[in-house]
Amino acid sequence: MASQVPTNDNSNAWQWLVNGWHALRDKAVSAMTYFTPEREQEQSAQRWGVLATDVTEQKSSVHVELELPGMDKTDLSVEVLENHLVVAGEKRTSATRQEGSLVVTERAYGSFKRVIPLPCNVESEGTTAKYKDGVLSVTMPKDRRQQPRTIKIERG
Amino acid sequence: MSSLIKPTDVFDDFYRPFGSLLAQGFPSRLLADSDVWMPAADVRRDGDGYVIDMEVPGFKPDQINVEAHDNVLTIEGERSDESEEKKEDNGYIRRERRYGKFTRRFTLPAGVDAEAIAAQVTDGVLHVSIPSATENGPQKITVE
Repeated sequence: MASQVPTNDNSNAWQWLVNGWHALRDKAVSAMTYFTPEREQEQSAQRWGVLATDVTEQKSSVHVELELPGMDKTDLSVEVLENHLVVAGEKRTSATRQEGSLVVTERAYGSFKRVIPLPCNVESEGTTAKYKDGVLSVTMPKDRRQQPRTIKIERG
Repeated sequence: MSSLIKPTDVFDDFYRPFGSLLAQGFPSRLLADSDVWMPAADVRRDGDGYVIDMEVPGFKPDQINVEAHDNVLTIEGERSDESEEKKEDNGYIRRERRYGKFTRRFTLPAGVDAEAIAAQVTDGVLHVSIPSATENGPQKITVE
């Protein structure tokens, strides 16, 4: 098998697979977030969850939307560090989940932290955060000192 | 909504993911808003019935459809990205959230009451309760 020389159109298949895997990994790796289970007996819980995030840059602000279904907003913390947004929290298992036997477990529980790089420095003052329908929305004003200023050239 | 237009080739399902992947190249097919979207769900027993909790962050109740038919429970969701139209100037730096349509199917075990299935969305989690048909005790059938 190994000595066979691929001659058909699929000869690039392996390269496609490798490229595709890398592209997929690049896209998803930052969204994959490790969840530390709150109790040791929570063995069946998934350790990795996806916190899918959109970041958009507007003229004077940066907007982040993070998917965090099933959270209590009091268990969430949002911190702005220059050009990073740090979202940490604890996703608790509901009391009812512990009753009865689990048939399928795909959701991740426990404490987590995700650091999202921002395109520029932002100010923590004036930052607003809202949690609705399982989505955390954060709007941060850009650091005014870093915003481009138009400098008038005066006649000499 | 180009992501909703799917190839009609019947072999597509059969070869997916590998056939089409090799034929068309991995990235374009899988990384575009493709049809492989499976929101995470927990299923647990609740008495004699079942409960499904599925993560659907950002979905409104009217964007989700839950249907039971012939012992198959189908959960579908569809949403569009509001900013999709002005894609050129919406200033995306990072895009990980998915838009378009997802479908998940669960086979209902025997002895559940498909008529009494109820669903609600709270904080981005869809909660579907599937009660047992025998919740009110076994049905006694008289032999005549």
